[in-house]
Amino acid sequence: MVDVVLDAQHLTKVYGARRGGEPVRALNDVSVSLERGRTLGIVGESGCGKSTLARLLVGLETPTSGDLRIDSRQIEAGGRGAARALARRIQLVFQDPFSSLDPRMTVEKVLHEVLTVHSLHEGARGARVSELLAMVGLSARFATRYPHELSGGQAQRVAIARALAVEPEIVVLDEPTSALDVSVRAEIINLLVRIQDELRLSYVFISHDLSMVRHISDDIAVMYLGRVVEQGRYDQVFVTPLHPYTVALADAIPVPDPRHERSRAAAGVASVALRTEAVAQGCAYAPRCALVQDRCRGAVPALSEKSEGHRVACFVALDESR
Amino acid sequence: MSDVTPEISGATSDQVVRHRSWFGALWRSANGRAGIVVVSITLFAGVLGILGVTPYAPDAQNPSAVLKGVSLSHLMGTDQFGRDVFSGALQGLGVSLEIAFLSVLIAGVIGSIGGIVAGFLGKWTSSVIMRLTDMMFAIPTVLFALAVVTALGYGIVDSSIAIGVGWVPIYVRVVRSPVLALRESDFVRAGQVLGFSRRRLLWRHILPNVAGVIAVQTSLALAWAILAEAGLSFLGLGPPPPTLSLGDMVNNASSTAAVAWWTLAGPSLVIIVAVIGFNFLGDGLRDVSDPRTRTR
Repeated sequence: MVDVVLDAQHLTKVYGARRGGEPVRALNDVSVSLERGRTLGIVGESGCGKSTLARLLVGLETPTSGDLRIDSRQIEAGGRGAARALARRIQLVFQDPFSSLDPRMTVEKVLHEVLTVHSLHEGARGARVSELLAMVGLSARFATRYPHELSGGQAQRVAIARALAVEPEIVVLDEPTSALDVSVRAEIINLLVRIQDELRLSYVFISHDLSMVRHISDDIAVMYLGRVVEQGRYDQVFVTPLHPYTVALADAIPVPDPRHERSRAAAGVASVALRTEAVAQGCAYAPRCALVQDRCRGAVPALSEKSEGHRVACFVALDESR
Repeated sequence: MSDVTPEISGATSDQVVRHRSWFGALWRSANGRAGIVVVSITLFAGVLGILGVTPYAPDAQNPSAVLKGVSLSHLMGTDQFGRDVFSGALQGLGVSLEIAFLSVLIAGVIGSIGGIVAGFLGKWTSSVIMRLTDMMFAIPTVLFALAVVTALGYGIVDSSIAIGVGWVPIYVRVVRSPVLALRESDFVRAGQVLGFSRRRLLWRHILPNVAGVIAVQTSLALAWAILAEAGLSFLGLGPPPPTLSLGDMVNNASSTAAVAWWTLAGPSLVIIVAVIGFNFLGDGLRDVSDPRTRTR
């Protein structure tokens, strides 16, 4: 029995439809699900709708259409009670740790406030604050610091502690390491993995960097221009990528071997210019695709199962009998 | 954001000297210190004027000391009736400050609330408020003040309303834009995700972050209000005698300035000092209103 903690079905988000301008489909029929205690990696370049997905998941915005369930319970836009209840289940960690912390609040106050709002640990909040800090690897000394007195990594730890303060089941990590120094990234990733094991958390890990995602994800969904173009288990998507876009992403990961790098350059993996403008019809990836065929420009390939649990939205990949 | 200190080592903790009190930080900035000194002197002198603690009675005429120059007994000389200009200036400063503070209180409260509401609430409310402020901007402030004074009368409260209302749209604009930016900021979003109520987000997160802007604006508004009041009084639209403000004194001096410069210089100097003081204070507040620049 699979324990699905988060289930999004056919999420669509259209912006600007009311103002008479050209509506933008930031998210187009996206279905993803997350099993308890696992990590779902969402990969795609900027503008592919992954941040929009994050905002929908945590309730910052409501989908234009689609269905979102946490623990099999439907999430609906509602009053304050609903927002607070949702907050206890799902949390978000932002990309930029500094802008996600109130510059006028000390670390202690930030965490204290969350506990107060949700009436948690009454009478023992100070102890809980230290506990949360310890959980993210910060000593109690940091409690009285302001955000600007922290390094990027420290600030991100505080943001993670804040998200954990409500004891959520799911944490959406929206590029949690991309604003950090390379040297700090691994520390944060290791921290996230450790916390996940300790608290049995479920993660949605969003990144444009496939090499980051593969360190942490159990399942992966690759997004392109608002659609999921490939999804499956980590090894399926990495070992046997099907969609030409995933192949290109995987090839873009640097390999610490100069000979390999040289042969790759010779193979000439095209870095095509980013095209985010809406494609009138057909596959959104067709303008960049090396394997493009006539039918790709005529119809949108549906996300279909190629092998057990491994799904891809590409006519060519589905035809090939690998 | 590049930080050379090793992660979590806390090596910086002992070196970080904190000046978290506003006053301490203000005192450390050159502008702030000048502002504090000059404004303190101005306020002290104004309070003396209001309480009537002056070397001479401001309206006491002395036929034997008409148009006397600057001396130890008359720090700013005397006017054509033998009145002590310094005593008059103290009293006038008191009147000017009363009107300035009252008008800025009116402008600050109405304007800040308007700006916060326009920035935080929905589009519709915002549009209404912004169109109103646009309309108010279209009317020259002094002209508006003239109209209000003519309609209401010439008391201290009437002058304050006349001057204060003119500054309302400036507060609205200055406060609205940071509120707009803060509403969309990550930390307010994070608060939403954490289930914080709108009231909490507004009072605990947005308002403290615009308090600095409001403080700076208030200081600058005070400087402007002193000038505006002097202008109104100069035109004879200030509070009627015997309440003499600095503007009245400048007006009265216009007939004697040619033969006795001190009758004009005295009240003018007081106006200038007061305005400069509040401007320095405003600049100083701007320097320290951001906690990121407060620690050093």
